[in-house]
Amino acid sequence: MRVEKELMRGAGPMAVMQLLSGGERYGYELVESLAKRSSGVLAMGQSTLYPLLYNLEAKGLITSRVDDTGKRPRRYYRLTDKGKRRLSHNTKQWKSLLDAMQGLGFGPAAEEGVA
Amino acid sequence: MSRALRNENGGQPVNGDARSLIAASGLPLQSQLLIAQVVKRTRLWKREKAAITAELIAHFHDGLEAGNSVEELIAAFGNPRTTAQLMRRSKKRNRPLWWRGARRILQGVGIILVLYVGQMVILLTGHPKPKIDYAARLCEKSETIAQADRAWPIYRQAWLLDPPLHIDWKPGPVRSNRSLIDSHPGDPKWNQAIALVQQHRPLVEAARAGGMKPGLGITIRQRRGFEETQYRAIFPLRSSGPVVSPWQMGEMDCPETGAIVEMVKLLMIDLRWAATQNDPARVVQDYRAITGMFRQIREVPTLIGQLLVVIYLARTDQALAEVIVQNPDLLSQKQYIELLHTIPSARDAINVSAESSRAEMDDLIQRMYTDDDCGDGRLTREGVEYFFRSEWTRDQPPKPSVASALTLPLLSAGIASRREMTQVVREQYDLLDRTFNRTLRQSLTPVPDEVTQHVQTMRGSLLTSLHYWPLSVNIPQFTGAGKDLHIARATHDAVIVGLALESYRLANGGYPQALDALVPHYLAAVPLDPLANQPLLYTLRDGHPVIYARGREGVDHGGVRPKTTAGYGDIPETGDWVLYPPVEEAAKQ
Repeated sequence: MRVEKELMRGAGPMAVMQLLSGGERYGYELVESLAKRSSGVLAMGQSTLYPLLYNLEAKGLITSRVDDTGKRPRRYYRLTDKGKRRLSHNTKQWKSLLDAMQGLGFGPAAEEGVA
Repeated sequence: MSRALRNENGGQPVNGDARSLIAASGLPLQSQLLIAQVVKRTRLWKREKAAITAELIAHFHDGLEAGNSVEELIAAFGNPRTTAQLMRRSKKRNRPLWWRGARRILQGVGIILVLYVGQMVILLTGHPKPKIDYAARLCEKSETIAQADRAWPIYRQAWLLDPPLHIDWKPGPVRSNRSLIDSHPGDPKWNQAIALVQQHRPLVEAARAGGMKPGLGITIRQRRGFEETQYRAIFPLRSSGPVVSPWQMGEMDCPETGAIVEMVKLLMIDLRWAATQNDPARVVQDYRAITGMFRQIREVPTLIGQLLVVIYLARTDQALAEVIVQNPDLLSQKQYIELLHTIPSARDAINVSAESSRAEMDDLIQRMYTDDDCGDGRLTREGVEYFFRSEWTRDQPPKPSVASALTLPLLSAGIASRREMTQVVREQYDLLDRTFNRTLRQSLTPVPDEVTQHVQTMRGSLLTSLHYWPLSVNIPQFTGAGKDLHIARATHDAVIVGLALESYRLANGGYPQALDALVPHYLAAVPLDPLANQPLLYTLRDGHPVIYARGREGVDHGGVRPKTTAGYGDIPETGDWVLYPPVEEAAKQ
């Protein structure tokens, strides 16, 4: 299931930053990880991913470097200190939001009830 | 290849262009075309395009190596146009601070420019539509004067024959420093003054002849068509050309006044000279011509003209009084009676109204703004034209200039609206009229000067000066005029009484005991002391008449002039205000 654009606006950067919290990654790697680890829900093409990365970079939340030691040069992205603080802050907010949504009946229990 | 992929954020330059990177990528043609299409549409800087190109190339290679087909990768890529737009926006956010700041400034300037041009277009569509012909109103009286009764043709002819003339007029307090027109026989400048009268005999003759005419008969319309050389001959004091356009503020300016005042000065000298030559008929003739010219100046009642009349009539009265006191038997009783018939009407000239000046400002407003028929309007290009003109009496209406069009929105934002400007003019002239109508005692009271305060409000800063431009630089003050009027009237009244006393003496062999004896045969009534509002006082000292008012404290000291009295117009704090004989002659007695 694809998430609507409005929801992705907030979730996309958060998801990318979460992936980068495990270490630096390059573009295609991020696309693959997002698709697999979110079961396709947060899958995004280049048209979304790269502008998103450039925006995060402009805000100083991530930084990048070019590695040309491999067979092909790649640009790797990683979280900055500022990005880590923002991720931590946003994570708390997301958890609060999820708790609140579950309280309203969203979540696995509710889906089972509907079924 | 690796050189092309240096990180621009990391300070490593990215060389090579996107096209060469794509060509060297080894990717399938469809993906190359897609990358080229996206990168081209980003319209970014060359090095930014190169960085994006390298990243997309790497992405496609990674996808292919992961087992995806090129078609799958292209399908997952997204819309190329949208991708290019998003990349462009996000990459620009990564540009240096100076670039983003400059961009914001340029955007701001652009918006302001668009608004400015829009406002300019709106304002340029408005034009003033003057409804009232103030100049015609002002010249109404002149228009009705019959050709044979007009003095101006006589003056004009003489001025065209005579060399340019401007006589020094500033009064000096002491004998050695007196101006030409105030010099007496024996003064250092006396011979120079006489020479001047002899040199300008055509003007003197024209002044005597013209001064007896009922009217001046010059109108604004008649000024048109003067040649520059003629204009310079007639109006030697003017620096600019003839006033011919109905589109200028100086329209109501009356340059003839300057020419007539020069002739008045000549006759003032001649009046004293005639007395030394024992020529009473010329004394009477000169005085009558002078008062006639004052009446003519007031025919087009400009404010400056009226004020000049007040100043010069008082000085002429002083000259006549000195002549009579020095030579009481110079004039015959018939000549005294002739003067007594002339002089009361001249008193009407000692009056000032700001109406013409007010009309001039109202006229300017109607020529500067549009008219919404509700008392308001917008500033026009024609109005702004005045801002760029150093002289307002040139011979052509202002031609629309680029400068006026370009500055119109700016000046429109800074300069007061028509409604506000009209209101300010009304306030200023009401205050001015109130000043002119104050009693002498009120004029002597040191109170805050409302007229000056009002003008200072307009001139408080550069911004307020601009806001009320052109009123702030042109509006008249003349705050001392109220006092001058009363002093001139009192001086004139004393001369009337002096003439009546001499006439009485010649008829009865001596001066009367009281001024009441002059009424009604010589005077309609005894003139009033302007401070006490009671009849002027009179006494005889050493057989000579003394006419005086009570002075500021309101006490009769028997007509004794305090020793500290400076001269004409000096009203003493204590003691009497002696009006006749004049200070100079009293000192000799």
